[in-house]
Amino acid sequence: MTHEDRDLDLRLRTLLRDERLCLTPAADATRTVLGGVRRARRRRAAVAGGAVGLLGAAVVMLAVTGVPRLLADPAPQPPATSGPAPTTGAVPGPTRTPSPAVHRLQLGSPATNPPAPWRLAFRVGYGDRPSQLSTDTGGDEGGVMVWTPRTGVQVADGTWWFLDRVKDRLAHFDGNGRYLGQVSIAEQVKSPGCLMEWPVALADGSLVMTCEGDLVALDTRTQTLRTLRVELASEAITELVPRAADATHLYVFADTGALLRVDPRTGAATTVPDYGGPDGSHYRVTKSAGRLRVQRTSTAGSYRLDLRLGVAGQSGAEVHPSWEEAMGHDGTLALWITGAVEPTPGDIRTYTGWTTIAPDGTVAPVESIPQSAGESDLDNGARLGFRPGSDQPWLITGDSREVRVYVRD
Amino acid sequence: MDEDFARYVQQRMPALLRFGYALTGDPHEAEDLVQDALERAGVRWKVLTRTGEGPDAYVRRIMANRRISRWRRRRRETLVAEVPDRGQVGRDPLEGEPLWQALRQLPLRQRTVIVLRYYEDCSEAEIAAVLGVSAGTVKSQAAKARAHLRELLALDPIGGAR
Repeated sequence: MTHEDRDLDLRLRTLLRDERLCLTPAADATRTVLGGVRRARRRRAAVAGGAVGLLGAAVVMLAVTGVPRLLADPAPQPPATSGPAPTTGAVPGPTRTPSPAVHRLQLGSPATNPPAPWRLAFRVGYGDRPSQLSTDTGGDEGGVMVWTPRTGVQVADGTWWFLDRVKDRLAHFDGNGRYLGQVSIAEQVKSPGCLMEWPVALADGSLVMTCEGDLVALDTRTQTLRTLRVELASEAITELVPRAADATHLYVFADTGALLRVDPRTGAATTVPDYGGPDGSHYRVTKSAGRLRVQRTSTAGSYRLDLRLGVAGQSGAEVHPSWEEAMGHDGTLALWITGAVEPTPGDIRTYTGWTTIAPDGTVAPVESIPQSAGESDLDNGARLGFRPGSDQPWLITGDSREVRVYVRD
Repeated sequence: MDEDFARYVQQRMPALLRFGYALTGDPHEAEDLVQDALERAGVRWKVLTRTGEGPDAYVRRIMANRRISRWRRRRRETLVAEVPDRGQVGRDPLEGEPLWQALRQLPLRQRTVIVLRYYEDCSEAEIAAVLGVSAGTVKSQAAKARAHLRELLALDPIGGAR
């Protein structure tokens, strides 16, 4: 070990033991934790009883949005007099833009199944047979079921692929749910730390998943896999999450906080502020208290929308939203919204809604739909998408019995 | 059981918050992480107190791994235009410390390895067990992290001069 190494060691130990890193717990922090444990137990009991975990999902969403608190209120601080404002990784928008158009979206109680014009295309159960998908329990999820389609996706030829990490494979089904075969991902799974997930279908027929800082692409025609190293000048990337694709490129989040546009042929990446849509537009969906903001930029039409979320019978209650979004070939943006409301402490309720936004900014009336969050609190596999080249959206939902695939006619 | 667990929470909360702060670099993320890990520990309290691992190791493992998992879950929220209202946020007490700022720029897994090594005094084998990876991966992540830190400090005139 060099002198420089020893110096860095010493500095790291000193830094991480610095008293300024001490945080003061709130006076009621223990009670807050105990309340959370009671809610978690109720949630587990509901799951064990076969109920879809409405409460659990709501609790998780509230946890994600920052409720409740453990820290004591900080002492008042003088306002910063210089330095940049806090950022969240978003690239600032134009300095002068018109106010977004306001729409009020009323979420409703979750539907068991999405109503017509949605159609159940097929369902797949769990089990040991190749034609069945798998579930996983335990691990660091504390025994809560994690079902491992995580997740399915429809590719350009209309067939479906499900990432099944228990059986170390990509399982292939036709449009009616008939099992067609599988491609092993065993070698990729054996890579240290590799957690394959989030398959995204590209227009060229390939399917791209993350594997730590690499991407793994399946050519669905030849059924061959290849690993793709994402290259971004001067940036060390160790985690990637593919999220969307335009006609030619993939959009992924990196652990550096950046959104990257990646060429799936070469791995070359550039940092971008927004997703790209298959129609050539750029869009983003962001959230703040009780609302979603949607922005689309395109030569064919741009909009900025302020979607204010409410629920029936809960006037004034703040909705904590989570959502899935996807864009169709014609630029229609679909939103699958789940909102958690806590009218009184500990009384957490979940509401949902489905809507679409046309390329001209027209917002369709909210429709009833199941919730996108399920009984597994992490990556439960529920998903919204469009087949590449198509304007027909699909939904995947699942519970402890089966995975269900719906298409909208 | 609840009394034992409540006592554990009360005693360990400050240390866990500090560990969470070192992992995340953000006091509010730290409390989310601690709340999450303690809830899981509370649900499994009977098992944890009966097995050899013990609650501390379990909570530490959950916090280190959930830090990475939660980043995945929050993937959309990194594009949130408006900073969520998290109440009054104090100024970063170590904002003038180049090494702290460099540590905050490390990729998640590298930062986690560094915090487990230098704050929790974990061996490479212990870190490998916590993260569920091989000791070789821990070694390479630690080496990358240290190299990355040195690069970042070299770019900082104050840090580089130290």
